[in-house]
Amino acid sequence: MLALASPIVDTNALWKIVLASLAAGAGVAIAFGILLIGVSRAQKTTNGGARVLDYGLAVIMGAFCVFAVVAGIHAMTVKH
Amino acid sequence: MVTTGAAGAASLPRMVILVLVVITAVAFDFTNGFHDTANAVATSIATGALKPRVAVLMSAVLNLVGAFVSIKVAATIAKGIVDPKALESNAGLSLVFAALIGAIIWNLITWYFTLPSSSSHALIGGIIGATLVASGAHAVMFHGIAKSVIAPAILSPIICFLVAGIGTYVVYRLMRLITGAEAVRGYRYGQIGSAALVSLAHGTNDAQKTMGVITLALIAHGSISASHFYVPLWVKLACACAIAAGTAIGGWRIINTMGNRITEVESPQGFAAEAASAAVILSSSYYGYPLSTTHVVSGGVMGAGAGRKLESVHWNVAGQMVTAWVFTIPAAGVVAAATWEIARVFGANSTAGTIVMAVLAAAAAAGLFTLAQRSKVGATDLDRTHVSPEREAQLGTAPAVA
Repeated sequence: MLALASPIVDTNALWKIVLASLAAGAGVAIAFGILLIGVSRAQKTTNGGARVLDYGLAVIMGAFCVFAVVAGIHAMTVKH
Repeated sequence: MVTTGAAGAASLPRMVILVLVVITAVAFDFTNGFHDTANAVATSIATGALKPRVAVLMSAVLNLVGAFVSIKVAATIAKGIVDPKALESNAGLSLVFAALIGAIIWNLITWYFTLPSSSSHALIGGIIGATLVASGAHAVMFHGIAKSVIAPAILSPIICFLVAGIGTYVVYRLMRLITGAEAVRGYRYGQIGSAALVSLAHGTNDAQKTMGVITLALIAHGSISASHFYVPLWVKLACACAIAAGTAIGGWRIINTMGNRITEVESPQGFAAEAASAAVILSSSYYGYPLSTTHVVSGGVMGAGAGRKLESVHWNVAGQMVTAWVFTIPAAGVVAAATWEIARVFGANSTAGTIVMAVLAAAAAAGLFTLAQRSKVGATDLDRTHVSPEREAQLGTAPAVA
């Protein structure tokens, strides 16, 4: 009976999964898109300052993607 | 260990059954490999990001590596699903054998019908079915099944659908700022990384489930003490190699369904689907929710299709897949229960019954394989690397292989 009393879905964990998935899943796809935009614009612009900004944006987005991959590999090794 | 006299004669049949269970478990792991290859590489192949054979080889190596990352999944197989005593008893070996046969047969049936379905659910269904007939309904933990299997099976593809859909929707708005060819070329590179991550995650989950099954059989046999659970090195090696070999041969039929028949995938969509899948799989396992990679990735591919254009998703194919998912646990359970009952005709937990069922299962597998050759799908049918990014951006994706 105690087992039956426990909820089938742990809503607290569910929300964490949804938020983490949105941040890492949709976030990485969008960040990678911004990275591509940054690289594309940096290659086309003739303005040195704009080029630095565009490459800087691409580097930040790339770092976010790498961080997400590292976090994913970490999650594999510390499964609950 | 060397046994002599009456004790040795008595333990020989059990050793034969143990060997058959181990062989069957490795065979299941092999089917798991080629059944689930699609999860990691289908969209990368469909968009031409990778050559089909390169994709499956990369996935195979990463599945092999992933199998050694952690043994936590192996330690929890069947936990909360059936009463552990049912698996540790004298009948445990025969029960595990019947469960594996149920899972293998269902895997091969869905492979024949080109439907991506969950190998993990097939295994769970097999365990439930065999336990029901072997020990009765009291040994099946229905609340645990609802919590650990059914709820994640329903929720995970929905979550991945939404995450991939949102990602794809935003990405296609961003892509208006650069040329289509630039987007396609960039996301093709990205897909190599995302496919690698899904492959690694798959290896950490699925190879270990079979490790857990073999270890359970060793415990039932008495080779390992239940109080000192560990996975022997030879079990790790056998399972890692089996899933990698299965992955390497490429489940082209299911790769075609996942990559081409659910929706026509473009590179940004493929990346969004894989990134969403990896995120859902890894965050769920981090928070302790076991789930099926097949369900998650299928949800991701549908979401990526819907995020670009809702009507681009072939909902009839999606419906067939969901139907297969619904039937996976009951169908694998029925086959496992039938295996148990037929084997019992030759005597409870008998060697003869186990051998007969192993031979029948091998014959059924050979029959399905022969039938599948009539509508063969190969690596060359799926290769799209000859389509340049400029061409893909101009035309979209090619139609699916019939």
